[in-house]
Amino acid sequence: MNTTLIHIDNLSFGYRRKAPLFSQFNLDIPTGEIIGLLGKNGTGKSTLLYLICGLLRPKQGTITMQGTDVKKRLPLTLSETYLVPEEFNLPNVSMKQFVKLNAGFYPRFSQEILSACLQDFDLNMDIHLGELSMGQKKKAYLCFALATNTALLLMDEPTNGLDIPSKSQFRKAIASGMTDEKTVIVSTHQVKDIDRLLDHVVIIEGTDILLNQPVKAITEKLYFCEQGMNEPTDGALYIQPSVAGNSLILPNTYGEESPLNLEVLFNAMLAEHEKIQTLFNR
Amino acid sequence: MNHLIHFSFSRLVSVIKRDLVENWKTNLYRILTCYIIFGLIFIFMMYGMNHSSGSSAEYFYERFCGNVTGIIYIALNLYMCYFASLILEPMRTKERRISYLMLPATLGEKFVSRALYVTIGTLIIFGCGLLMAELTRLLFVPILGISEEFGRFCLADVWHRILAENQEPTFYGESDYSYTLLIMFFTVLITWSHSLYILGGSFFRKKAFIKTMGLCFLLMILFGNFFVQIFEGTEPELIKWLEDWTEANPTQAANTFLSIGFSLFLLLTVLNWGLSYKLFATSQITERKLFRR
Repeated sequence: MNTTLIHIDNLSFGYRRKAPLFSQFNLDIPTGEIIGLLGKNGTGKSTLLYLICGLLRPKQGTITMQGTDVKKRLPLTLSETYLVPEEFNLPNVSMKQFVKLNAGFYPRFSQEILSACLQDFDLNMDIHLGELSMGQKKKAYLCFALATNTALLLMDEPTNGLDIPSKSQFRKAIASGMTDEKTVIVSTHQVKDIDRLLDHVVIIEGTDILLNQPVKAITEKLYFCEQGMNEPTDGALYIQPSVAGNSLILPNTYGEESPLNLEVLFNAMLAEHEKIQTLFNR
Repeated sequence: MNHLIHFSFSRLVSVIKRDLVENWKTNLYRILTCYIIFGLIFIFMMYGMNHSSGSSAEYFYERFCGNVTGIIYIALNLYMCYFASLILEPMRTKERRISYLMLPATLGEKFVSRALYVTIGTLIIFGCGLLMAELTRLLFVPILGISEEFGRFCLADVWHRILAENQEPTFYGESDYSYTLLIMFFTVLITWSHSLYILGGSFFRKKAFIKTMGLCFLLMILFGNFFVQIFEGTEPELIKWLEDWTEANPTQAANTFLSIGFSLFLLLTVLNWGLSYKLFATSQITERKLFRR
């Protein structure tokens, strides 16, 4: 049984008074899972990440991390949280120096994880952060983030700017670094980069949560398949035309296993939200 | 557990160290800028004075030291105010704000580290630049064939001059005011003007120095006008009473005015620093806006 790491209670927030992004929003984030945070542009995915780590303050409601209000920005919560934003700033120093200056703030920092991750990304400890390309900087930053070993790792579009081999290395690094005490929240539009990695999916739309389910529950209730153009699609909850034919979501009546297709699920939730939701409510 | 909630000195040191090392190039450029500016001023001034005629080299050296003292006073004030406006430099861009606010240290530690950086750090940078400039000037004395009198270490003479200027004057008879109060008043006045830039730097994230200076001038004009309006409408009896009282008790009046001024500016200084911390503590990664829609 997973315990709750982050508890969001009655959150209200908006950048403008008259246009709230979140209103009476509630969400519990369990420990030990990799959570995919999905939503259309402007639905507040990044904002939610900033709120969770205390970079933004709720207009109403609270966000607590194991009982501590994150808006206080105490070292107690900050030393257990690491955010990889979409755009970030790295100082003009060597990796060794960066580690020396920053590792001390994270009590469970692991030099081994850092070295292994850098090696996976074809980098090493002798690099100078000011001399790297944008993609290499992102890899170095991701490695440091993983090495901090914080209880909560928040990632905003982590695969943007990564080359094709690095995307699979990224998945490998995340999966190998996971423990029961760690929680990773990944907000992305590049769903294909992460769909095999996730344990839990949260889809937000406007001020609502369209879906908040573990991947296991999703694949137990839904069956994802590909069909040819002329094959029957009777009983499908959602049909999405694809190059080879159609991508379908069917009710998983016979308890068959199928790989989660995050892109189709996301589109289905936007188009057929209520139809699919009733399946989970049964 | 306690150290993860309350102020920790060792973490403060780590925050300062991080700030210093990550910005070592910027700090180096600041020292070099200070050195080049002072170096050029010192050398050109020394060269100009050495070629002046009419008085002895000792006289010109004394004048040179006097000018250097004035330049140091003005430059130090400007320099301190400029760097005070950079107190929240790590919050300038969104990326930097994320990096700084996410650093696992208390808000107090982060603020104190920046406060030390822009006060003591700035003094060190200023001192280094000044010392290097003076040493360079001394090197140029034989190269430019300047009079031997200019071969003395001018900064030491300037220091003695500053000390002498701040010594309590010897009064013949009874002094009109408390000299300690006067020094305290001027010290707090300078600290207050510095704290205005600390406040400005905490509010404005870009071009804080120019914006704060502009705002100060604007407020000065507005308040000046406001006080003129007030005193124009004041009953002449009140002003008359004040004049009479000052004439009858000059020592008491001077000390009262100095005490009131000291207390008022001390209060305003504490208020400015407190507001700056409040602005930092409540800051978010979004741009600060005066008026939200």
